Amino acid sequence: MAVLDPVKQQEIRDTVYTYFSEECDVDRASITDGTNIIDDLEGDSLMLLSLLEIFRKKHRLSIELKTLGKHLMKKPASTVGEVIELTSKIVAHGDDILSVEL
Amino acid sequence: MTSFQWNFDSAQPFCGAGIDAESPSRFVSALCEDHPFPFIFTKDEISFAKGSAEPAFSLCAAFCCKEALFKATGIPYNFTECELIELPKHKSVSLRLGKELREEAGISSAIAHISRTETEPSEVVAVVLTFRADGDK
Repeated sequence: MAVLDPVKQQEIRDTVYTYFSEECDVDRASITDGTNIIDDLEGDSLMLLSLLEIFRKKHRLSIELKTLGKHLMKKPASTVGEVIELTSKIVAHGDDILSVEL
Repeated sequence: MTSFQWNFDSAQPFCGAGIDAESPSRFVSALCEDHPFPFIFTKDEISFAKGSAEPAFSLCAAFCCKEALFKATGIPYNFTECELIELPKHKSVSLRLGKELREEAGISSAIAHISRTETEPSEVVAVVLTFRADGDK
């Protein structure tokens, strides 16, 4: 199983925090891993897809939306921490994400 | 919110409905790219949107249809398998569906009604109905 190095993990964390801070116009310091994207930040699915697009471009990922949807039905990503975890898995495993133990 | 009356005549059995709303303003910056969100929009959709009178509205309408279709079927699918490449005024429109999507979702066709709210700024609202092939259980 592919594991991301700490530098890449921190890079993903920074990207996710910065993204939600800018998109939702909230102070970055007020966001934590437990912040709920819909309830606390008024985020939505388009935001998650836009974030995925950033990572797709940056890491040249080929994950399909169908694969991501199936994964999210098994394990929803509601908080910033869960989105970081999801994004890390996508970067590490791409379309093989469904075979990763949840 | 704009209200509408939707009459349609279909020989195929109705099987699901979904609705989605979104602001066109969220698609304005994406239109600067050659092919924004390639895992969401097809080349035909981008081409149609960019050539339309309101590109952001067209792109937003396509996105809302894709989300509404997902809500109608409950099946995750690749959004490029559902295309909106026309926007007739005051008429419902048939969505172009890929074979894999039709088979996995158990539907044969889908139609959408697209409208905009009278709020400022306005939002696009898409209502999608899905149908099974005639004779399917």
